[in-house]
Amino acid sequence: MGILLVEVSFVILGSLLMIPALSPAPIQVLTRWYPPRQITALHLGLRTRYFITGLFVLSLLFDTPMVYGLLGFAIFWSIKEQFTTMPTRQSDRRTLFLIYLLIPIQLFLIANGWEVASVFFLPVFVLIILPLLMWSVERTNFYDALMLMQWGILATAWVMSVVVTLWLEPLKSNPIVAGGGLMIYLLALAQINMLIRRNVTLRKMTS
Amino acid sequence: MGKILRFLFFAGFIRPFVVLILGLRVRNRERLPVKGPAIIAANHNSHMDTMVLMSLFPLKQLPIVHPVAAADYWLANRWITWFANNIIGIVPIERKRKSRDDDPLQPCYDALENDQIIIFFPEGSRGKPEQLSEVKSGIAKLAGLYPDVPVVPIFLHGMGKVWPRGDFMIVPFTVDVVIGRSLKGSTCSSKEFLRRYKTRIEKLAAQGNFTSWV
Repeated sequence: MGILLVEVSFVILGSLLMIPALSPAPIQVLTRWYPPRQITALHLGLRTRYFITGLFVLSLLFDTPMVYGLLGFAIFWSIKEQFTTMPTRQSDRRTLFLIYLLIPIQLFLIANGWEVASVFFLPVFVLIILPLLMWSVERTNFYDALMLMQWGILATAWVMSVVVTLWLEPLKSNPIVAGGGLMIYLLALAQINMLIRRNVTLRKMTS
Repeated sequence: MGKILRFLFFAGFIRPFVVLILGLRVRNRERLPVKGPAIIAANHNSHMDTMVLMSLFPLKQLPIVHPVAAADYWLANRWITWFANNIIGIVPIERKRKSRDDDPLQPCYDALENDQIIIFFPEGSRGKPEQLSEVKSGIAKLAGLYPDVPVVPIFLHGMGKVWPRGDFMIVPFTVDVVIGRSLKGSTCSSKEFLRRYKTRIEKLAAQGNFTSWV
């Protein structure tokens, strides 16, 4: 009964969140508060956020396939952000492409329930195969490039894939809160952290 | 038929690809022209440039947005010609002049007079990845002949990483688009216009603190 109530409330919340993402209503609200120059960017940003939140809330419900899609995409997005921010070598383009191909393999391992394999697959690849690949392609600046890459992949893809595992395999001791509940907890933690950090740094900068 | 295919190609393939697989970080989106005629002038590193610039516009504006492209490259054979004309909707220009009276920019004039937004790459062809190349005089000529048409400078970063010239593999990176204030050709000579365009692009490039790619 409790679980059903949670699920129904998620459906309602998810659908409600999708409305502002698809309707022109926010733009009318925004025009009251902001100068017209900023409206387009604000509106688009707001719409994207509502869309992501709605998608997330809905996917908390329809367990497996949608979660794989969403989290596979989230892993991909995080790796891409990492590769964009960190300096990469031109000669590593093919290696980078290969790393993107690891995401489906990793998801396949998780989906099959091979927990040990899914935990060890990325670190083994990153520590043993990746150095060989990168060394064979280009030797200048090798250590810098390799370490950035290793750290980047483990901090994004590997960590995120652990989250996927936890989401999809609710702990036996606490079937209501584990899984989706854990995701919400993690997200709330990350968002509050970001909010506080941003406000504190802003205040420090202005004072 | 061509129009529907074009819409489907951009709405169903190019736009999702650019937004979801690459990811755009656009600064000053409000500076994009809302109606034609207008000239978008961007630096050129990759075929992806055109796709990204066309994805910046809302879909209902798609029929009036046309990239200027080299005829010898895009009208090389029947299939590419069909694709370039009907799907991408290029404005073809000849890179080599056939006769003395021939103006290679004539198709651009026609497009601007029909209130179209054209995407123009002043550098001519795709340069080395993540480096600015020398600007050619074509843009100044256009701006001089159409002094009231705004020229919107746009700096693109990351496209040379995604798909550099001479490579077949597309590797996803987040792409940066910095849109500048529009220039008009009415107030200055063409040399001065080129200089202004160049400094503006360099300023836009400096806004992002982008690192070069080695």
